[in-house]
Amino acid sequence: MPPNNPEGNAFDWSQWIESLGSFYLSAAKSWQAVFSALAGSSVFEEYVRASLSMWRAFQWPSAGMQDFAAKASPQPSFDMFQAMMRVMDHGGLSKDMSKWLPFGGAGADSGFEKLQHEMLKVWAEFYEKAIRPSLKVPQVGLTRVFQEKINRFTDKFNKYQAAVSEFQMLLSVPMEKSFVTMREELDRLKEKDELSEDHKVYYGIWIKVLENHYMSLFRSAEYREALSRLINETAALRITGNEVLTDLLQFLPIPTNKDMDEVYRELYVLKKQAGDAAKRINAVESALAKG
Amino acid sequence: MNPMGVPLNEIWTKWLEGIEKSRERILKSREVLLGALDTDIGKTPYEVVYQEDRIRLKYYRSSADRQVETPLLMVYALINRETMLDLQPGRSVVRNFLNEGIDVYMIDWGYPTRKDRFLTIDDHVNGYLNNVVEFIRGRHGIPKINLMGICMGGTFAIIYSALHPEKIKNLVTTVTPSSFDTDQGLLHIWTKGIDLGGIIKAYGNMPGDLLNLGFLLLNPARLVIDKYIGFFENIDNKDFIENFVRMEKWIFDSPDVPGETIRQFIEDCYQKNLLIQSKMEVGGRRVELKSVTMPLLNIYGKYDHLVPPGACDQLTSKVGSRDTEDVCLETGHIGIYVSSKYQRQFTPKIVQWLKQRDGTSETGRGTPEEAFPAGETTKAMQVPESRPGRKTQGRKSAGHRAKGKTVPLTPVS
Repeated sequence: MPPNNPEGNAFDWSQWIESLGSFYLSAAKSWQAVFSALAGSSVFEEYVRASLSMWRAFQWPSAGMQDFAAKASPQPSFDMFQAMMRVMDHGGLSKDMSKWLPFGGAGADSGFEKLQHEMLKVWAEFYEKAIRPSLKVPQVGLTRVFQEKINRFTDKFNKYQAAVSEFQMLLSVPMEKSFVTMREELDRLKEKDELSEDHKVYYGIWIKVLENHYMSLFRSAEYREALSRLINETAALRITGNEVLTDLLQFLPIPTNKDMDEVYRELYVLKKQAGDAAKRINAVESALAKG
Repeated sequence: MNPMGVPLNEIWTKWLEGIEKSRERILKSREVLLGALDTDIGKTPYEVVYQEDRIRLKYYRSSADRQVETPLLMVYALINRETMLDLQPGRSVVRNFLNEGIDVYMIDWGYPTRKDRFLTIDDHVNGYLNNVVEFIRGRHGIPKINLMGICMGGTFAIIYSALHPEKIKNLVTTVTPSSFDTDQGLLHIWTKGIDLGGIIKAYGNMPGDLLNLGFLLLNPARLVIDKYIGFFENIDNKDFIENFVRMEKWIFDSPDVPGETIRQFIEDCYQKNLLIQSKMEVGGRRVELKSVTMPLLNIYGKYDHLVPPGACDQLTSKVGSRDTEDVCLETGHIGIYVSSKYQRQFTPKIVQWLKQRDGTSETGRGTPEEAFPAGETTKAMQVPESRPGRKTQGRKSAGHRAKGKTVPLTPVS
């Protein structure tokens, strides 16, 4: 990466971020073209634009200052603490930018949440339409059965990953909302001039808010469906994984779970039959003793 | 002042002060954590008097003046372990019963393995539980015993009492779900749409860790974050740490639950709500709640998030008994057993209730020693330890037959 001064001891963060942003912007546009039939939304593009604006807000106000900073220090010129202080001095991030912050979105309609939802949805649909059919192509030849099992396992693994991602995303939402609620609560306390200097007070408020958001989530149909999907996909992954492992274990001189389950079932049935037989014998013995 | 209008400097300063205090606390905590900690649970001495497969029957003998002649059998859930009833000397339901002069038997369901995956509710209720009841009846020479169930163990106790009412003198159910069609608790909401068939097929049994993860998700803010914040805030407090670790030991000691049993429990109870309608079938017999004719004491917690009041409070109106009582304590699922405050209400209430109903006509020969005097006890109770190639023998005593084996009456702990 090119240095931004003759000494070559500082890194040009702004140039790097600008080029990275351009890359993602063009990638987003390409993706949009690919997935337009699937998603038809410009959320990702909007997100990258907002990220670039955010970066610019953190930059030194002029190139001269940047050169000065680069020359004055042999370290990379970007200082996160200074950048944050500078942004705070200038009135913080704009509303358009802050809505993309994971913990700074505007409640239930936050851009970040929407983005997460959309990316998961796009990926799930893309997988269903573009990748999954290829795993179901009929296999032929000597290894047909094994290949089918491996494909099935691959499919279940991808479905499991999607279910886990969706579930994790849902679990992160209350956390995000709790920070938004906390900000509103702090504003309210400030208006009433009731701000406390003890951070434990704020922790107490936050944990209660977080608990309430989780309770709301857990009672929602969306969560129940995601939980059910996660359980089903976990089970399916484990079952297909076991099938592959069982095939591999058959090359070794050890019993598989499948073998043992058959033994256990027989043992269970035999014990029941033995118990019933013992009861009948007791009844006969009792009758004979009485008679 | 920043754009949010919050005096960040003051909060920041306080926070740094807090960190400084935390540093001192952590330094002190070294003495606590590296020192000798008493974190053992289940310390009340007992004897294992009966064993069958993975289950054991613990016998706690009261040394106080006997207040209730009929022994009490406590049946814990298959989820987590019965050690919760004997967490520590000051918070032990078992010890409280012993101090009040009641002999206690408690089933230890053990740790199911894959071999146990096909065991059903029938095997637990009409099999293990019935064998244990038969054993105690025979040991004391009595026709009926007192039965107390905890949570899912309470559900088993209800089923047992309905199928074998002639063997139960008094029934006590504590935080016991009997009516499952409620939306008060998250478990009741979640389980309605869940198909456990795949999990059972995949794992054989329901993994205890998976169940624990589910329980943590019932309230992650408190159980995953706040609880451990509290731990670090008290990390230099020896008593707190000992109590905390005891509870952690209990919570995360989670045996797997036999697959067929949990499947039937979820499907018949949580999803179809058959028990309270007297439509559930166990071992080919219908569980008629009207057959529960013995006195019934039903205790539950007002703030129980696992088994909410709505899941407990219909039972007394559905059973056949005319001597029933509901007691709703203002605490949660575990608080009933471990909270110092409710220890002073919970056990005394049960003892008083049992004492009032402990007639002498059916109490047989009292203690095992009285029932089998002059060495007869040991001879009658013991069944040879099973050895490879040798079948475990049953035994006959006092007209009752119990399966399984009995180990010598020597203290285990």
